[in-house]
Amino acid sequence: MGLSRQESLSIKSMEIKQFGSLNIASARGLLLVYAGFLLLLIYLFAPLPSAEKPNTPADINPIFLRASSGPFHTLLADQRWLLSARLDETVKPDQQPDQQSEQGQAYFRQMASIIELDPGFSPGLRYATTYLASIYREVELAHALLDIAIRYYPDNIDLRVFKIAQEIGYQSSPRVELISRWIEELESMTDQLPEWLGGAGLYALKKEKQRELQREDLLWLLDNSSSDIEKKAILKRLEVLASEV
Amino acid sequence: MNQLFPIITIARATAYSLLRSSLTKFLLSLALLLVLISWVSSSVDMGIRFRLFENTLLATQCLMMNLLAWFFSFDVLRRDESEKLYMLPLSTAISPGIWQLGRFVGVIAVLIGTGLLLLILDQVLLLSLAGSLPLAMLLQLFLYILSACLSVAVIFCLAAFVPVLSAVIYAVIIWIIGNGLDELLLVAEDKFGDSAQQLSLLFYYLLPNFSFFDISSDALNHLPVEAGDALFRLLYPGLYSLLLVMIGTFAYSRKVIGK
Repeated sequence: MGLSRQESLSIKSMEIKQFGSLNIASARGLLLVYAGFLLLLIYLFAPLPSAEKPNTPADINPIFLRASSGPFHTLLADQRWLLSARLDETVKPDQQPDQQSEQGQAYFRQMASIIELDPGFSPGLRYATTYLASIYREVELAHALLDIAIRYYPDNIDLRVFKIAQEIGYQSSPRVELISRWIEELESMTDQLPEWLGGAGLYALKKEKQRELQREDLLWLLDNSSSDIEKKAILKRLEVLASEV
Repeated sequence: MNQLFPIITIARATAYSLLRSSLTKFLLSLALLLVLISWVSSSVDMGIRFRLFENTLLATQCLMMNLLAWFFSFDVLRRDESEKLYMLPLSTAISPGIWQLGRFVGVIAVLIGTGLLLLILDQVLLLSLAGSLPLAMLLQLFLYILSACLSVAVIFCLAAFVPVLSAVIYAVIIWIIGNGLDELLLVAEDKFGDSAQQLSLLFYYLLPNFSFFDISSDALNHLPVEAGDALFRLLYPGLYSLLLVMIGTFAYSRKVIGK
């Protein structure tokens, strides 16, 4: 005996409901199993950040990085600044001069990307240039770092004065002609130059003044350093400076 | 003048519907969460006191304002497109262009309102923590609101010519390009010839230049901002948006109904 149309429809609807509920229940179960599997996979195999091999994509062109980070470039600069302390964990204070130079180049690239991202970050700029000049003895790289900031702030007098101070304080033989040219440029920009710039050429030739300036800078670096390795390198440089007297 | 009343009415209705939507509540909750995260970062020392805190506040404001601009515009325009809402006021002799203008004003009003709310919250937090209110920070936070308004104008203008989803996608691309226009000019000056420099200058002046709204480096490092410079940055989005809205409204008015 065949079923009426009403009966067959109601059976069909019950089947759908049962199938539907079964389907939802099994889907939930499957979802839970899958989520559990995924968590297990992540827990077992996900790489953890390592202090030994920090991720430092410093080779990316900084200007490209600045353009691609849009209005968030200053936040990226801060992130890189905080990570740079980790980068410097790889620097050993007792390395050979050629290794020092390589490390200095790496440090410069890292800092150059930060300054390109945030050229107004004056504490970072001062720290990085002083560190480059005093610890790595890379005055030219320190100048190059300052030039990045000057490119964005061409009217900033402090940056140019700081560059002259670096030349006087750290070059083994300060280039007096270059210093005079920089001072002339400054004089065309402002009337209010620091007094000491007047006798800068003479000042540059006095080694004891240079050592005094370097010592002050090193003490400032020590106060502002957040890395133990950097502190060791600064202390070692202070010892060397004291032994030179 | 007789067109002003319908624009205000449509704008008010748009603003109310946006304020009631769950999307607005979700995005504002997200903004509060991000501000809270910024507050947590206030103890990190970066050489300048509260620099990281100020930086994350700026990033939050920028991100939220642009998200709100894109989502609000998409929400309003998609509803108009899918439900053909701009055909509703035809019986009252309001053109689709006026309808669209009213919708634009409504979105801008909500955007400025929420932006100012976030700005006040940021300033209260800054005052309570740092004890000072750097003018450049205030200006940068406000510029992000104006940047979002320009984004809305771009979307409304593009939506007159292409489907809404495409308009939003193009607007996001224009926003990304617009933020990199100053770097493009620097690279062109450094590495390319005269023709490339001229081309990049053309882009710099003609495209919506979102890099004009970025003074974050000055703001974070408490550097002074010149009055003339600030005035230009404040006026630019208004004048550019006006042009885009005029083009959009004109195109909408000429649009064939039902297409």
